[in-house]
Amino acid sequence: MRLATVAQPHSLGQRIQFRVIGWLLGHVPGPILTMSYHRELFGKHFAQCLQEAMRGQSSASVGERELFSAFVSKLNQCPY
Amino acid sequence: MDRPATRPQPSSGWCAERARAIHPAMEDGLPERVKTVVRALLGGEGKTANEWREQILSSATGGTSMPALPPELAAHVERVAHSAYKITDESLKQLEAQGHDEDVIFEVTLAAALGAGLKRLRKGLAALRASATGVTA
Repeated sequence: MRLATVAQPHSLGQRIQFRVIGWLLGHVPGPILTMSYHRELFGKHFAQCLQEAMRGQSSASVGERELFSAFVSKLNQCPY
Repeated sequence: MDRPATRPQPSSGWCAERARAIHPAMEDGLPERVKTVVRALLGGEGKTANEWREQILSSATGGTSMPALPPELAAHVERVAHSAYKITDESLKQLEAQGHDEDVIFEVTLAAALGAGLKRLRKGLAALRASATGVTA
């Protein structure tokens, strides 16, 4: 994460969450850090939006949606 | 044009109402959950002025012209919206060296990224509608 303050946990809950994710994945992915920082301003609402788009009812399967996302990220030259 | 200062804003509830009043065109045709994201970012309490976030988002959606941002922040908004892959650790360090703290950079980046995302979302929704009705845009 390029902004140091965003990479820091800002509550006990986040400290635990980051520890667990870091233990599982070896690092905390940028999107999770971004959605965890100032949650009221962005992450809390965007996470619900993301959940609905990626896991909600749709004519596209979950796998297809993940594929769409990976493809768009590739076009944007962004790791997915 | 006066440059809006970076300052604390009133509570998010009040600001959400205000954002709803200001941005009917910006929200037009968007899914309800997406509108909630826009309202939270534009109306919520942050380090940057709400007017900055509003103008940056609008600019990144291809709406209004760039707000009266310091040139280095305006360049950052442009990069986020159009070529985010060009952003480097070095470019962010330069912004910090120019006196912009990380919260300001974070909020400016969010507004630009959300605006750029909304622009793409609108195009996608329009394509789906055109496909459903058999009319090409």
